Order: sequence, then structure tokens, then C-alpha cells
Amino acid sequence: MTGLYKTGRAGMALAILAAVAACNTRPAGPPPMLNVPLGRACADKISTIGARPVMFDGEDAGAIDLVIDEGSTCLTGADGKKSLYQVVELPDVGAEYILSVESYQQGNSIFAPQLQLLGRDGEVIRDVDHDDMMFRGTSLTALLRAKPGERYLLIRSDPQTVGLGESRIMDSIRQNGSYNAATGGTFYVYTGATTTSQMTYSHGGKLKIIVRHMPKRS
Amino acid sequence: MTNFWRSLSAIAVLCALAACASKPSIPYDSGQSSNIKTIGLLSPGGPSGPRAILATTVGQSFGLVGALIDAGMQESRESDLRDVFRGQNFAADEIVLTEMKSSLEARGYKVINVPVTRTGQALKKDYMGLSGADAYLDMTYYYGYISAGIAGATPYRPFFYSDVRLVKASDSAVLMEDSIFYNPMNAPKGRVVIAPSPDYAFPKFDDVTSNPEKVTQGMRVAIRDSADAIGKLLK
Repeated sequence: MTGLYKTGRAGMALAILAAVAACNTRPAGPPPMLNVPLGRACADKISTIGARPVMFDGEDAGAIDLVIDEGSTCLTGADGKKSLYQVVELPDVGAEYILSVESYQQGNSIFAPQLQLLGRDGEVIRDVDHDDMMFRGTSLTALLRAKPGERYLLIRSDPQTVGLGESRIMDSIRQNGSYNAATGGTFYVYTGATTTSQMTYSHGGKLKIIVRHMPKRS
Repeated sequence: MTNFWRSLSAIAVLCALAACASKPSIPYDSGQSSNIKTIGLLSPGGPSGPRAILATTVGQSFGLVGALIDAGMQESRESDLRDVFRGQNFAADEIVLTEMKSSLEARGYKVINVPVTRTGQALKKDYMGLSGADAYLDMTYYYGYISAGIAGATPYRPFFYSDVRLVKASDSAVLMEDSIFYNPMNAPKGRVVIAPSPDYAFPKFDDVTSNPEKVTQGMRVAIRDSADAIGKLLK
């Protein structure tokens, strides 16, 4: 342990405390939106007007960020339940490609997505339900092969899922460097932490839509 | 130096998390692959034994000397964990095959076991000469127990990290490829991450060795949940 003391025990302790504090800090974000705001006039038909386009940026991929909040368009489903939604215009590349829809936790809230792939005239081609999604990294993700003819992606909040909770245990490692001016050296300490992330599914939230070409066969 | 290399292989398990991030996941399309009815489950590429990883140690900050000390301690933990599993008649390959078969059958597939020989612990480079199925599922994995560090609130929990690839029998086209991490360190971006069950947490490694039944059950749950996730990828 001599090396540890030589390189500044106080600095090291501070680095460890800072890392632990960082791990325990819940990211800021709005509280979960458990109901579509009262008084909102909701249509009973999806409109593709105002769809946000996602395009391939260069050769490989493209992405857009989306926020669904109180100001988003509202839809009343066949069951009378309301959701908030956003339509994305998909690229017309004439070949299948990979489409990823990622819903991110903000504070203790995460958007509850329900997806539909729509044709040119807004007709439903296929549904992707909450049960078809999985956590990838730290985001709830739907990973799909999108096909020519699937021109729009409807992302709407899933009233069946909104209000449900999810608790996830996650381990992490951090490297903290402590520079010692006297020796000119940097001493690294690795710290591990276990956190439990609590989240509630919400009508609103933050998403990323990513398109990627299918990888070439090796 | 055997211990040292063994320690490096454990570090390699963790490094694999970072490396896999650059490999794209390929999603399955059940509509397009509706003719896939029978899946040939290749004998999985598993390690010779479980890993018992303490992901952060004081020794990591002390170069080669620290690494050698860590390696000795890790070798001792892994030997103990092997004994725990052996005492419970736990055979990882058999359980992986059983859980995978059950998961795929639950999604409506007929499953046949396809014995293969492997060189190293990697997905196969080619799938020529296999017969009897519409597609073949190739799989490699690591398993064991892992703790994030020496602090009190970082218990040992089971981990199971797997790479899977489904190829079409007729032309070896890749129908699905992904990585599934049960209880990873630093959730790898873009990869399927399964949060561990809160029921199988052991504050110290001594608690692992003194609870063989529960430790083994925790490992079974990790494999079962991972197999279920793989089945879900083929829905």
C-alpha cells in the first residue's frame, strides 16, 4: 500500500468518493406522465403529416432524437384509451435495413413505446408491442429489419404499460486517475459499484431512432 | 505464470464487453424466415469451468506484482466455485442445451442437437457439412459469479455472457446474430442486457462457498433467463 500513500491518499479518497457519488446520482428528468393531459383533444386516426424524417447520413447509418411530451399529438385508440404519438418517415432505400428504436430512462421515468410500421398511405403493415422489446445497454430497444414499403414508423405510448414499474440492478466499474505533481505520475484506482435503477413507464419520454444498413456478409 | 494467464482470461471476459460493441447485431425476421421450422442446436462453445471475478481490486493499481497477487486469489476462488458446482452435479453445457431447447420449443421450433467440434471458444467460421435442420444456432458463452468490487454493497451475483448466431442451412446466410449479457459490468451499448435477479446476491465470496444450493440455483436462473431472451430474439 506504500505506493498508494505516496501518491496522495486524500486525493485518492476524494476520487473514490466522487465516483461513488456519481454512480448514486439519479439522472435528472421529468416525473413519469401517467395520464394524457386532461382537456387534450385527441384524434381517432393517425396523421402522417409532420412526420420527422430519418435518413442515412453518409454510407452507414443515420439517427434522430425524439421527445414525446405534453405537446405531442394525441390519439384515442379503438379501446377509448389515449396515447401520445410521433410519426417518423423512414428512408426509401429499396432494400431492407436495420431499424432501432431506443427509449431512454430520464430520472425515474421511461417512455412506454408501442410501434407500428405503416405503408405509404398510412396502412398498418405490422405491430411491435412492448413485449417484443428488450433492454439493450441501458435503453429499452426494439431492433427490427425494416423492409421496402414500410414508409412510416408510428411511435405511441402504450396505455397498457404506462404506470408499470421496472427495477434493474446494474454493476459498473470506473477508473479514476489521481495526478501527483511531485512525482509527475498518475495513479489509477478502479472502483466498482452496484446500483438499482427504478423506473416507471410513462406517456412521455426521450427516444432515439437509428437506421443502419445490413452488415455485409464476411 | 499459469495463474497470471488465467487472470488475464478473466479480464478478457470483461474486455469482450467492450470489443463486442463494434460488432453489429442482426435482428431476426420471423416473417421472412417463416420456412425455418427445425433448428439445429450446435453443441455450445463453453469454457472449461466457471469464472469467479472480482472486477476491481487494489492489486489492479500495482502493475505486474498486483496482477500476480490478484491472479493467485482468483485461481483460489475459481477452484472453490468449481467445487461448489461439482458438488451440485452442475454441468453447464448440459444445462445450456436443455434451456435453449426448451426456449426454442416454446416459440414453436422443432429442435435437434447437432454435435460439433470447436477450436477455441468462438463462433464457427463455417457451417458446411451440417444436415437435418432448416437453420443452425451457434453459441458460445462464459459463466460464473462476479462482483463489482471490494466495497460492501457490491455482492457476488451470477453472470452469463453469450454470443449467438443463427444461419440458414441452405447458404449459411446469417439470419440473426447478437450478444446477450446477464449481469454485465457497465451495460454494453446496443447489446441485450438482462438485469440479475435480486434473489441471488452473496455479499462475500465466503457466502458463495457456504451456500452451494442457492449459488447453483442462481446460475441456473441466469442460464434460463438468457436462453429465454435468445428465444425471444427468434420470435
